[in-house]
Amino acid sequence: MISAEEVTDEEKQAKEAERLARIFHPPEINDIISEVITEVVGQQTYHYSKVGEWHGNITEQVLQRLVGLGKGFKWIVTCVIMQKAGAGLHASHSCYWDAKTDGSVTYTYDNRTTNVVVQVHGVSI
Amino acid sequence: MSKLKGKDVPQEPNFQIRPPFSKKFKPGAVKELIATTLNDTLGGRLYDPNKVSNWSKSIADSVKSQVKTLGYDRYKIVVEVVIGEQRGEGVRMGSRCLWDSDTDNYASEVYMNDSLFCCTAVFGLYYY
Repeated sequence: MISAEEVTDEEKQAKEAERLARIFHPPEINDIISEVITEVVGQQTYHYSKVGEWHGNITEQVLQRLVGLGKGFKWIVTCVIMQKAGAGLHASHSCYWDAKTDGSVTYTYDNRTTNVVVQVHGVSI
Repeated sequence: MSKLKGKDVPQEPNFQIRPPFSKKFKPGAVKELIATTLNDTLGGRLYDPNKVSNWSKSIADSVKSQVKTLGYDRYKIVVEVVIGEQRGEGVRMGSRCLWDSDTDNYASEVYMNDSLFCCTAVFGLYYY
């Protein structure tokens, strides 16, 4: 027998799910990026001839999966792949948008020879 | 349409789904702006790990506020800046975007000297 409190909890969860479907939600995007990078680059060694292919695959697959989320967003996916040679790298961004609905995620990945930084910006329409 | 509070709030949606040509995001103008900012901020400087993070933030903020003065009213702006040290290593930076290609566009510029490189990209996205 469903009590009055349980029905309210379900309603609350449904409303929360609906709200999250309309706004930028970082955890699911982090999951997408980490899966794609592990699949494309994994533990491979940096090689200049492969970088172009990795880069194209990472950005395109992340974009396709973001589109698969079915949200009303325009997406920008940027990827920086760098060889580990002891050099420093700084990435920053500045955005003019509606902070309630739009957002961005930065994900870094590294293995023994490569650094990968992926930035995803989602702008609601 | 309700009145807006504050100067820098993007307008609420209305029925204008395409910008007039004069208000369209123009990559050429923005590219020049980026080039000037990069030359002014980084011209002749050496890579310094303590200062680089400040430089990248200040370039991003400065480019964003200058693009706002160009008068692209209904556009949301995203500016990305990457600064790295030049040690001969391989780097690749690029993006893929899902947007409306009639209204949205981007401009990018790279600055290099002997000790550092800086890549800046500005994306303009129309708000319907």
